Amino acid sequence: MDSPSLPGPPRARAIGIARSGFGPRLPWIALLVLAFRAFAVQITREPVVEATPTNALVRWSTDVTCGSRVRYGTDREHLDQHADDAVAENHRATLRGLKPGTEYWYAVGTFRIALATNRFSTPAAAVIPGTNPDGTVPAAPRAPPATATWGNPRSLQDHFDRHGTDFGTRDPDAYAAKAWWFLQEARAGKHRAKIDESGDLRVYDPATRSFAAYNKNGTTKTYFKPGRRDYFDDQPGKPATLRQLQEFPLPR
Amino acid sequence: MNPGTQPNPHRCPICGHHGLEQPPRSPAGGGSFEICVCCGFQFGVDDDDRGLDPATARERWIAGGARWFSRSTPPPPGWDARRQLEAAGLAPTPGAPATGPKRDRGATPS
Repeated sequence: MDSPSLPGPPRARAIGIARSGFGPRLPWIALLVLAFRAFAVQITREPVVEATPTNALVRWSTDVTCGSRVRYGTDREHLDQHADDAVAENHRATLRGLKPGTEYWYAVGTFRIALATNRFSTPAAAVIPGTNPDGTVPAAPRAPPATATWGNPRSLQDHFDRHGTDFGTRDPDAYAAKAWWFLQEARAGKHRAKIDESGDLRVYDPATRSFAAYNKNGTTKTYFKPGRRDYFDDQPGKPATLRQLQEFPLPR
Repeated sequence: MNPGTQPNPHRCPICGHHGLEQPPRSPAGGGSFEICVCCGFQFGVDDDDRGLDPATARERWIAGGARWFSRSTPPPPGWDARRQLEAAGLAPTPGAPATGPKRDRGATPS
């Protein structure tokens, strides 16, 4: 693992102190303190990357609570983009808007320093029936009727009563149709997804905090917006591969 | 599947209604995501996301009037929430309202 050099702010601050006339030793003491603090943070769990064609979730842990920043880019020497998240010991950051089939370099660390550098590649965009080559879902025919897409049609009204407002839907059919479209997007690799031992699929979009669960025949079990940000991570199952998603049934 | 026709419905651990189509938790460990037609508790959501344990959820349901939840599945004829809770052994202890104030720590039991 490489550790890129310290970025600007600490150094700039030290120079500021030197110019303010507090004596020649103070900047060096400040630099030493900053350096000590910087190197006090250590990684206790190496970064793990879950990548879709256009997004990547990076998770890592440190021995102390500190900021979460991932610097990234396609050129190892110029990690010109970054994604931040909360101050934590167990860190996570989502890199969005990535190019499919592309190698990225990244460095995890705090807001001030990088702690570990590595690389990953996004999967190639899936070109599957019913989607455009860029992974978007075409303005297609309507979603099938809810009686075909909802696992237990008798329960649809209850799910709509509880969660319909999460998505601004006005009736159960519109709510069920949105859940079906969400599955379409998942099959194109646009969201995070897990499959459990029984073959059920769980899909989560961190950007909209939307979650859905589907039976192994592709019908919807539920669709809502969890309040807990770790909710999807705590769900059972293993990350679904793009192939598994492409082969997951879509009610028609 | 119609809860009224399924051979082995499961009992809701919150309200005692004997009509869940699936066990509340799957063998894989997740919630079933089924919503109890009686109390409205959703397994895998109210517990895993909203942190409600069965006792607290039951207290809230009773405090809210123990009303039948589902608009699409009507209650059985003559349905009575109290009898259902008692039959399932889930009724609040007599004289100790389920939604009453918590006993102060260290208070002497009566």
